[in-house]
Amino acid sequence: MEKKKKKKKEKKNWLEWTVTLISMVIVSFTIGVLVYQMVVSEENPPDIVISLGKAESKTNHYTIPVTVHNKGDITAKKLSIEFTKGEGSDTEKARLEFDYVPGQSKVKGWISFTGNPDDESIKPHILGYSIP
Amino acid sequence: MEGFYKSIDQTLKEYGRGIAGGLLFSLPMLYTMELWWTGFLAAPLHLLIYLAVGIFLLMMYSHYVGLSSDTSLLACFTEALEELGLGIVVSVIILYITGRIVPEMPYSEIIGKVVVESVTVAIGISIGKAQLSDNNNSDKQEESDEEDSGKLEDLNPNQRKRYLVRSINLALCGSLIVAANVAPTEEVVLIALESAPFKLMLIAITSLAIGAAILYHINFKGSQDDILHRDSITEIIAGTAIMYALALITSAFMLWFFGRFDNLSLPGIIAETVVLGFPAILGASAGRLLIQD
Repeated sequence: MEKKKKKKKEKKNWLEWTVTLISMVIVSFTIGVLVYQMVVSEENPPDIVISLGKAESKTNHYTIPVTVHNKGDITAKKLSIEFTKGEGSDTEKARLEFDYVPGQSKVKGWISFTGNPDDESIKPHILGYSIP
Repeated sequence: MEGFYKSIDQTLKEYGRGIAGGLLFSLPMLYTMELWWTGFLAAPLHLLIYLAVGIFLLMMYSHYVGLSSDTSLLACFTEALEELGLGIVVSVIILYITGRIVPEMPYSEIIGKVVVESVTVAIGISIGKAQLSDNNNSDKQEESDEEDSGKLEDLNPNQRKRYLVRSINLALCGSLIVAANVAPTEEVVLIALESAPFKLMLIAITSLAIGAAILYHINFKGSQDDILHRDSITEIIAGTAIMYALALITSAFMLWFFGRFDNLSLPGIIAETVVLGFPAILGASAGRLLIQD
């Protein structure tokens, strides 16, 4: 043990100091953000808002881009949405499923119909989701 | 006590080794879907606790393995922060190039994903810095030989205590780094919930047997110098039991962190812990012998 104490002590060079300082900033920032989130975060349940884009004509069908926005704070899990086009005997259905839609974020998908969809007649219906 | 500066070249090499180690140990996690999900599923408080545990383990690791043992707690703390900072940077880069974080994401999701990944990357970095060295720091080797030669009974109470804390820390780091790869996956839950009680019993017995064999019988490189001069059967049983207990504690902590205990009955919790205890004791025994000096 005595011998060890006589050993020269290593000092940090400028590179190590730089890395240490930057690391400290990064770690404090991360902890700061987490603490901030903890203090201000609200736990609103999922609030799913669906918006449809413009229909595009493909070879044998039409596709429509769909954006799903979870305006709540809690993640929606296994979200399932059904889209209905037309009425009566012309009815066509499409379905979209997402494993996770985190709070305050958007996910995208496409639905497709064989007939030419006109935006007005497509009705989205949120079938359900769970909370993880 | 005069001081000297390491050359920049040496420092760069050290960081290089650290990053290589970090990637080696944590790339499987960076490539695991459940971990990305944990990023947005975990509550900020859980993430903070996870970070705190990570910093604590990193400090202990640099105190007992990485740096020389006469370094102050403060030096260990800055070392731990440095490794964590590097871990965060590496995680951000890998998550970005693999398309797991994109600028449009809410910042809470990005922070969550990065925190979840960076703790294991940081532990990998600290192991890499200490272990992948080309000359493996002959001074330090000497020092640890000095300390660890001789039988456990010959050590004075202070050394015994130090030795025990060091072993516990190595076991915790080893089991964390191995179990973390498996903990977040659905497979743990599946095995736990589908296994009959006697199979879970077999898993526990296998874990204990393999742990005991690695620690006391099959003579892994380094195992003789370090821990194991104990001959009596009671000490072997006690040592294995302690190791398994540490493995179970790590497993339970990780499962709790990954939300696997939510709304689960006690038998379910125990089943999952036992299932994860198997990789964890491998980490605590074999892993620990690999990550020590």
